[in-house]
Amino acid sequence: MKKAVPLIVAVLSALLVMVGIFFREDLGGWVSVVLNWAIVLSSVALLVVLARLLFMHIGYITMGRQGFIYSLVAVLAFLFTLIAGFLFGVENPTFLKWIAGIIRPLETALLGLVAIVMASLGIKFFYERGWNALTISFAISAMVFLILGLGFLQAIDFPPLQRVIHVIEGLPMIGARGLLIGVALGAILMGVRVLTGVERPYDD
Amino acid sequence: MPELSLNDWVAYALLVALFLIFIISYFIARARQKQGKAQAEAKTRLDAILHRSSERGEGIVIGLSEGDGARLGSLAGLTGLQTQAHVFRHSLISDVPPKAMAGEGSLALLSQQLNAGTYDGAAMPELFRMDSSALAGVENYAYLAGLLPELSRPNLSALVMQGELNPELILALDSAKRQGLDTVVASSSLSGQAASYLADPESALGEEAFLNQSTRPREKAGLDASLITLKIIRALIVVGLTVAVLLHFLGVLP
Repeated sequence: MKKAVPLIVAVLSALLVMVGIFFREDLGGWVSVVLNWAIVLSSVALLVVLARLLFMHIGYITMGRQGFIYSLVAVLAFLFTLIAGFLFGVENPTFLKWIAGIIRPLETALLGLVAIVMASLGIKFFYERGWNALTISFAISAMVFLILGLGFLQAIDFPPLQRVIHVIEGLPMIGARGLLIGVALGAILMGVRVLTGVERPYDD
Repeated sequence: MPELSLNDWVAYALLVALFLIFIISYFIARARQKQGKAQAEAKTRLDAILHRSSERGEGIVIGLSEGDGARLGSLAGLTGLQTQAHVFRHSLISDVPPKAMAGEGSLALLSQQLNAGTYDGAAMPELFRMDSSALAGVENYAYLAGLLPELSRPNLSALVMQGELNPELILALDSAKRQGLDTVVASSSLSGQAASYLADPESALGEEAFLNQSTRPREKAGLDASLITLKIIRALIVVGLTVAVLLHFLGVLP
């Protein structure tokens, strides 16, 4: 019984949402109600997890665990943001400006780091795997799309060349569609596994 | 009910075929298990990592879905949870217990609940620690900021990531590699797959992102059935596309 109840709730909810996609009008907004419950539950879950995270860091500080200074920064930043959000409101332009002023530079720095790491891994790709069909085709496609990305070739008024460029530009889409079909099949199968109770990620 | 086009009918037919093939394959797999005829278990990279971490007494960091992709109902996130359960089941008495990092509140709670259930099911609830699962951050970069310090912990052997992961995951992968950790990555997002393939040639591509591992009979049969279903459906799609192209050139299809 302990195992059956979550399974029944999960399967019935999934079936209701699925049926709702096909018969949205006939169900008279019931699907929206269920989805709203999910959103409310998700928000409460986030609150619970945030509280847990906060207490965990407070625990690290009181224990004096190695690197507790980072926990201190995390707790102070959390409290500052929370109090400021309550005092000024989350739509307050000054509050938003402050938050954006801290988050955007950090995110931009990480984005720059991602670009550098990707470039270094691109070079390592040849170093580690040597010259083979895969690395050569990777190198050629990278070169071709870098050149196409510059836009000079597109500016040449020569219709046969434009047709070739058009075909080449469609190639990544073909590869992506192949992968997307795979991803879609995998997702559907995972859905079927959850729906039939073969997989129960909510239960152990 | 809206009017259905030919494409819709083909899609529904594929769905029904997939469902039927899965159900039949699942029951065949279960019957084979009961008769003891199941195939010898293939040794995977995750198995190797789990054995190594057990031998050396090292921990594993598990990265679940991040950012927008971790929202409630993300199937890739649920697959990640199954992988997490598999890792925890094999590391119950490890010197350095595994740690799961989620990018969304409900996923983090489910992850904690699953861990509590795993320890409870193994009759050792006293070993469950609340910090075995944690919220790393709710946006892509916040998630990275929460995950990266975990990789600097001493006595780690691997980083296992499964879920909806964006290309930024490459920073975590790079950091893990630099610290000599093994990595296993399965992202359901295309850009995530492209980025992880650059860092790790054995990262999951396409439908592999939704496959997980388990030693439990029911889940193992489900995985075997999934693999058979995927093979048959892929063959059907290839044949269908080839026939459609031929019919298009013959002028039968528009």
